[in-house]
Amino acid sequence: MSVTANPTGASQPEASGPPDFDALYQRHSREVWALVYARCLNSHTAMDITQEAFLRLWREWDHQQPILNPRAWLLRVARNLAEDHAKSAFRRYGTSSPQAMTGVEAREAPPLERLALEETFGQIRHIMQQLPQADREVLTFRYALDYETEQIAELLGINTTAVHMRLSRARQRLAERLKAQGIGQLP
Amino acid sequence: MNRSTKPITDSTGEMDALLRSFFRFEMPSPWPTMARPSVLPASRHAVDVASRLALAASIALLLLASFFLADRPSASPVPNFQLGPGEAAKPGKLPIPPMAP
Repeated sequence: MSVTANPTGASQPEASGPPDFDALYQRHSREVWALVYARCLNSHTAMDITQEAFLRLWREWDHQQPILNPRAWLLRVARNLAEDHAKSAFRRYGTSSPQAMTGVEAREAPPLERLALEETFGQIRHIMQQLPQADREVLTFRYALDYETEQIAELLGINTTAVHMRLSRARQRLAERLKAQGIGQLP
Repeated sequence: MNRSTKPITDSTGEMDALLRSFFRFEMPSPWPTMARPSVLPASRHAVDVASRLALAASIALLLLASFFLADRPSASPVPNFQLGPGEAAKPGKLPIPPMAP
């Protein structure tokens, strides 16, 4: 896909900008979010970085820079932003973000069942953080986006056999650690 | 806190269900929309041109003002005092008090 749109006519918001921007956001924002989430394991941070990547895409268009493959561009920028964020987060918090250390994010006062659910998911998030990044990527694309093996392979630039192997190993590692933590089924 | 302690088996179904629930919980819902910036930020080129124009206008104004002031005759010309030999002050301006005996 070649996008060389010129976002002129800024006084007309609806008519201005690349015509495919909204469509691109709808089409690729979940992928970008999943890629970032697999790195930071924080939903809100992943969404912030996702939107920042799209904003930068918009600016690139504003500077009339041709972007031949917006999807690849977005994924690359989001990956870099996530790495930058990880470095800054490491400087601030050490190896684990505050959310990962507590396992429970600040939300509205939930009922008991929701607390139990959040506790379980917090433990899963903590275990996910101990997995290699490659494992987290395939797990996120598989279970967050319901991507098939071929789609994950195309997205990560690896072959389907490698995806099968990564997925199998990731699930095995995760299951072992869940067992070791004594995490039961969903409450 | 009470929690089900039934261990997760390695069966695909239970793991799949657990992971799907986990990621469904993690994904923002509803998926946030992204508002397009209604006014595009000024491009670097436009900012550069505008700042250079402002600088050029400021310099031109400064030069014009200096030329205008240089050509203008002075409103209060300085009188040409001629001091005689041995005089250190304009006559009549600073009376010298008599020396005390």
